[in-house]
Amino acid sequence: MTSRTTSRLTGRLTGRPTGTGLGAAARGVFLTLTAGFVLLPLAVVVLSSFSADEVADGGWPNGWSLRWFREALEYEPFRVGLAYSLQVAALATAISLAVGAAAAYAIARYRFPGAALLRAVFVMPLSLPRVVTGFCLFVLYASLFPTAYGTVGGIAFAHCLLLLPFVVSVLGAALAGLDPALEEAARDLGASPPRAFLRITLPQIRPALIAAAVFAFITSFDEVDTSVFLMPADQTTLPVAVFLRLEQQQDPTVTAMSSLLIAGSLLLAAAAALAARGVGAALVAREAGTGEPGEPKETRGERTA
Amino acid sequence: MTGHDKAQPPAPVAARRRRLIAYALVAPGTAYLLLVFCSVILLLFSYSFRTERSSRLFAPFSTETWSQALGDDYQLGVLWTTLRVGVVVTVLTVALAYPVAWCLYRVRRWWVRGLLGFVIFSPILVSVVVRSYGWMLLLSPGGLLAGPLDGWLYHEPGVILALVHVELPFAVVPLLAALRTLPPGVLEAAADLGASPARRLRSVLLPLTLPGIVAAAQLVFALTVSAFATPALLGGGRVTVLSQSVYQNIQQLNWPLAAVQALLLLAVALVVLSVFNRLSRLVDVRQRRDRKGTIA
Repeated sequence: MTSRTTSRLTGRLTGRPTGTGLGAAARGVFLTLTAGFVLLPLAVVVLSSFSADEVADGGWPNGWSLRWFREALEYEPFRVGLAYSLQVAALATAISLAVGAAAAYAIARYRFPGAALLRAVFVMPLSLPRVVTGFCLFVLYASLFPTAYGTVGGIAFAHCLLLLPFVVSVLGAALAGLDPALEEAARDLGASPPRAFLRITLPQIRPALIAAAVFAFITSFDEVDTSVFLMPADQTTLPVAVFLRLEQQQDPTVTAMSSLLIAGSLLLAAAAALAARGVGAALVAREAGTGEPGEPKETRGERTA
Repeated sequence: MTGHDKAQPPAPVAARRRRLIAYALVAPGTAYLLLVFCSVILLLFSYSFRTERSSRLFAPFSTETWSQALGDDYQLGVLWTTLRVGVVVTVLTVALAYPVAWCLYRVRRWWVRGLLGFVIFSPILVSVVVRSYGWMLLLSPGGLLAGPLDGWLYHEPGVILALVHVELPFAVVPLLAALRTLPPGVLEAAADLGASPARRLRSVLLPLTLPGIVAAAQLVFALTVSAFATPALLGGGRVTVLSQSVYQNIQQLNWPLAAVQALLLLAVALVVLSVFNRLSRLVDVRQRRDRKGTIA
């Protein structure tokens, strides 16, 4: 009874109208249905991958088996593709973080002519359809840099175009929320600019860095629309291999590989969320420790006394 | 004191050095983006005005490919399908995302909100190919939805259904952001003054969240017209959109036609972007005027 009154009160205070029980029930049903719609295709993939059937037809499995997972991991294009995708994603993430962090830092901290224009330039790739990017880089590689076609470097180079807008905006937002005085203080105390950046600014934007890195990695790892133009069909990244095989046939090997991809993405996201929260909690703890200097000082005083 | 002054360079020199550092920091990213943009524009135009595939940078000028792409019924049909699918998916996605965002906004328990938010946003992290494959399984003849949705696979309704699923989270984000900017208590004030729920939705909620609706529609339309994997898999070759056609023409070694279609796709994306930008500025201006009116 009291908790309901309090929640209604907080609802009033936060400006969120609290509905009647009927309205809340209707909203609950609607959200549950939507969650079902969102999860259904993923659930059916996971379910079918444990099937013992010879063909994946989307129906309820007649028996259960793990053999499609073994076949998926033994299927050559998937195995090669997995290693290929991991290399591309790691390289593209590293490049876009280094280049993007430098650009975001300059735009956030320095005032120079053209800064506003640059901010627009760094989000421009978002309005470029990925297929157009893929086609153009394909023609570019084919006519000027034939050695880049179908290589880790060539594909990572293309993926940076998709990752940079995201990295720059996330890191830019994090940097804008910081107090530049801290870094200036470090420099006044004798730290070199790179050292001040690494020791003072970088630790403060670590949650944003982790978020940007994880999202960049997943985006690059899952990328199909651009990549499909940039590699020969017999040696491709993992999602492109899945795509090309799906165009030909549907079989349980693809289903099992898809399940592994779902599990991988969710695990990575969960790990990143935990890491970001851990870092955040550590920061809060440290701030709480330094923010109230009264108590520790007193205890120290007592101990010495 | 004097020693300290000597160590610091004079102000203009320091300012110039700071500017140089800034330029050095943005240089790699800017050079990369400009290189890609310039080559994109140059290559697209260069290839769209020739008739045969060749890796030479210069070729005889011809407008034949353009007239082929714009005069042929099949090619125009591809463009028309792209736009139609884009509009239908945008309308359906925003119509579904609005109540979703509203319900998420109204959920009070933090863990329920966190859980539902995770469920609705998590598909963004899963490969589009895998999500599309899930719909292929559901709609295939033996699939769970094959009964009620018979014949949707490899036809336009199936493509639209899967695209709505793929783009839904992207529409919920701006709508939720718009709902969070609602002035506190505004809906209750309307209710206290006797407005019915329908009236509150029409006169208060929709006008105040219009910027979010415009932003969501813009994002979803841009993503839908350039989507490749989902229409390619769910359309199964029977529903062809521009992005697929570019890919097919490359495989058939018809680079000039691919270039024309890539330019058409780019034009659609840019025109829609500017239309929506104009629209959101219009909404913004009107809202500011209304607010001024109420204050005065």
